[in-house]
Amino acid sequence: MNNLETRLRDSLAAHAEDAPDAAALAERIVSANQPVRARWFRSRGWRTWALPIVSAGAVAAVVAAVVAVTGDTQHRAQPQPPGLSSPVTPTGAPAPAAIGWKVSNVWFTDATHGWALADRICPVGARCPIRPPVVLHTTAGSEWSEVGPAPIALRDSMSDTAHGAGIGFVDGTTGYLWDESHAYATHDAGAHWAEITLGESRPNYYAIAGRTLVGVDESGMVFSLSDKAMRPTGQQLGGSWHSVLETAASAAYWVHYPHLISEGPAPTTFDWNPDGRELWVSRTAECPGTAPGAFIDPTALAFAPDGSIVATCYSRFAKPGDDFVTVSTDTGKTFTRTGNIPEGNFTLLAAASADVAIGENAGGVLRTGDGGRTWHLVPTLDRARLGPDNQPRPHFVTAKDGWLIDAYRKLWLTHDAGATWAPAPLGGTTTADPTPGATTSAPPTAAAPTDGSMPILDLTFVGKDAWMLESRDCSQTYGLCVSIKHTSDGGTSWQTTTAPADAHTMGSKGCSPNCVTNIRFATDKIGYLFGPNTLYLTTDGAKSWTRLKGDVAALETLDGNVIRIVTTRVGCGAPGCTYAAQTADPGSDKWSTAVPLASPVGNNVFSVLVRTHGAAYALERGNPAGGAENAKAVLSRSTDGGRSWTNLGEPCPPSPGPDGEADTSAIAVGTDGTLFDACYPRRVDSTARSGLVVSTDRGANFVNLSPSGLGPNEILLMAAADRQHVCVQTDALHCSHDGGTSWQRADRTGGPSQASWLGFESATHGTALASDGTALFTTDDGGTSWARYPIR
Amino acid sequence: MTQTGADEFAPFVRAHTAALLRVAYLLTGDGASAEDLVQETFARLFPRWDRVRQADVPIAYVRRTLANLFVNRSRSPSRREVLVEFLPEGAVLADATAQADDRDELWELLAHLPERQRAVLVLRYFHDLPDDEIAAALDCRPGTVRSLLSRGLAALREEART
Repeated sequence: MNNLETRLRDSLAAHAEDAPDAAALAERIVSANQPVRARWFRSRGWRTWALPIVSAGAVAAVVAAVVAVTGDTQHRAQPQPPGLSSPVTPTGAPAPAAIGWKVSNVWFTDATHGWALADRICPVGARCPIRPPVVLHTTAGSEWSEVGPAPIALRDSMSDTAHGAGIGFVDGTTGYLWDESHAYATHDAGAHWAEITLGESRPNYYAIAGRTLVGVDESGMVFSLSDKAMRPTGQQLGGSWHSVLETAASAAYWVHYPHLISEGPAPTTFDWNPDGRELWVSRTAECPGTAPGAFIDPTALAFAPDGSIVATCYSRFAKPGDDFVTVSTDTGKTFTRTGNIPEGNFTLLAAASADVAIGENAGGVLRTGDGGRTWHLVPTLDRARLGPDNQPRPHFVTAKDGWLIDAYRKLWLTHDAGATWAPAPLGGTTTADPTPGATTSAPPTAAAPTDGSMPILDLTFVGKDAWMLESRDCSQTYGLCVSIKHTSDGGTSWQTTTAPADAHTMGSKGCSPNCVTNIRFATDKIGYLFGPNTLYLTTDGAKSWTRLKGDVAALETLDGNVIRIVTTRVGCGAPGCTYAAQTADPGSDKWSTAVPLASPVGNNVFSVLVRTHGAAYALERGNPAGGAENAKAVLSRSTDGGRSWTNLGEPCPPSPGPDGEADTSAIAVGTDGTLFDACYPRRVDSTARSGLVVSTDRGANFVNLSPSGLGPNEILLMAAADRQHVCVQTDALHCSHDGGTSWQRADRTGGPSQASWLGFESATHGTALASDGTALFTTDDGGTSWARYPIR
Repeated sequence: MTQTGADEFAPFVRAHTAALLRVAYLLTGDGASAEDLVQETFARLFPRWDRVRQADVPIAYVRRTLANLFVNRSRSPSRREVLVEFLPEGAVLADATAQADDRDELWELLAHLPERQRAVLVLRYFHDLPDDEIAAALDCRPGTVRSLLSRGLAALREEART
């Protein structure tokens, strides 16, 4: 044992002791004793200050929250479970007709000739036999046919994660197929595959170069196909902490991205092989014109089919205007600055030419047609539709033709250089996955009201009228404007209405002066659109809007009265603000003198306003920043339409154990006036549980409930129909029909698994917005059963 | 899942989370990421827990999944930049290196190794796994493990010298 190994062993042993406490984590894992796709919402310490918590619909409590849904898939092989054989042999039994395909990878040799690796989507309710994935082929781009089974597994049957399977063709008959452990060749367009021999030293990455398959292992060792085997050529290319092998126009690029968190220049280098022969040419991507020490680095490269290379150059200091696009048209010898990079954590994805590239940021998928001088949101795509990072990236096979695989593993094609995209006609139904838990009693599919491109931010209901606040693309750059849609038939059909021309939704840098976050309507004509810095009023059913003075932390209308919560200091940003209430008649621009809420002055952050007939409740969270441990939430109540407020204190009792402070995380009020208050311990450990207290005397007294079946996760959203019926979003949407004692998952009775909006309009009728924004769910029995209305 | 499988899941999680979390922490170098990794590992395995528990050594199977998840999630074809407000201290700063604790120095150097090299070093020098078990955990061949070990140690040796 040499000294280094001993030191390393000591170091690992010492640092292993720094690992987090396992007990709480184990309990969280155990509590989620059901198959999950989403990562748990991690509640560690205090919540973020940027809680977009707003108030109720007409009479219901609504707490907006962030539900992290990742749907990660993996690119590498997962271990095969014991006893499972590799599913490479097709069975003799005929498979049921596929209603669609899930695509793992695709390859086009030109605009029309393509192959796809795909799994069948089984008909709902059918028990499809285990079948191998198939290779689909198109010769005209308009019709695809199944040419044979793929000799590799695309998905791990145990963990449902994607394998890193790839496919590539050099012409109409010869192609290659690979995953981490195997490689195959076909010479009859994919009908039959022969295994390529891999030695002990074998590639980790494959690409088509020229008319052959090339490989590179993690150290940069090059492999070539020779005599039906991948053999090392002896060439050693460069490497880095993150290397990627890409193909464009039959050339292979081995790209080495540097670790940016290091001192000194960090160029991105790549080795280029144009024809599959032995010669690899080394290049360095540059960010021209930047001063020494500016630390502006090329962070992503995209290779176009015409040989152009588009790179994004980012300033490590994130100085505005320092980031730019640079392009090479001479195979990477020189780079020229051509345009700018959109803000909002933009990631370059693909290039069709020196001028045309696509990428994504927080707002969606963006395209430039002029080398990055201007960027436009792609109307037929959105960020949610792109798959996770480890899915194949979008790719252009010609300057006009390209493909991408979305998060549902649908294949999309473009024939106009990425300006518009359409699903590939693979056959079957490939529009969306069946919704787990959807019941057969669901009503007929409603007309899709949205273009499906942007997030739904808020909903408001007045009887059968409802309005939906969305973001939409509105500029030549990266801005997000406001889209408002209206239904007058309870959500069956939706129409776009007028939105204020100067209003924006929240961007990646926060809320602008015209930023709106919520919408409320008092009648079918009078409505409010507002954000922390602005307020718009309509009195004609959203045909026109007038901007009013003031800011709005929350606003609710009920009983011919409007209450808005404002900060008492202009420009105050939470936490540390003092909040007050103003009232007005619906439609009036005259607001009463601001009356402070009942909480102590300052150091709070406003959370939520809810109303029921005869009472309004305003919740302010305490501010534990800077180590303030005793920072309780404060619940204020008004029974005179917001003109005066009473301090109800913190309804949550202390949690057991040391440091037993518990905080209100959500409140909801039912149509019968029942007030529910969700509690969560400040100190999160293995004993942490969501708590719930209830009051039937307008908050004067609270009874501690002992919820069973909610698990340890914090309640993020809550809505109550009445004393018996209440629903909450924790790691999943749960509903109780016995006043909060026992809970059941809503997706087991046709509801969504996750909700980002939740409200009850009456003691029976309620609505939930699926957190992926694809459907509204309604209930007419207090959350006992649900019906699904697709909206995207 | 059978009732037996469901019954055995919770005790298994409680018994092994601490050990898995230590490995995850050594792999990721970050507590939150380690927790995510362990959670994701169990989330992916739970639907097929009946098969996991039938493995010869279930914990080895779970550890194998964890290691694979770590390597996979660290390598994504779409690269996102990491922007930092201040440049971190470079490992090349002679004074800082000289003053650093030896354990911390190796720990930091380890964090800069490629993921598979780091995973191999952790599995070998923390878990004392033989080559074939590391190979099984990382879904590669024992020869690759030896190569990764050799390269990883060489890189540490080289960096520690600078």
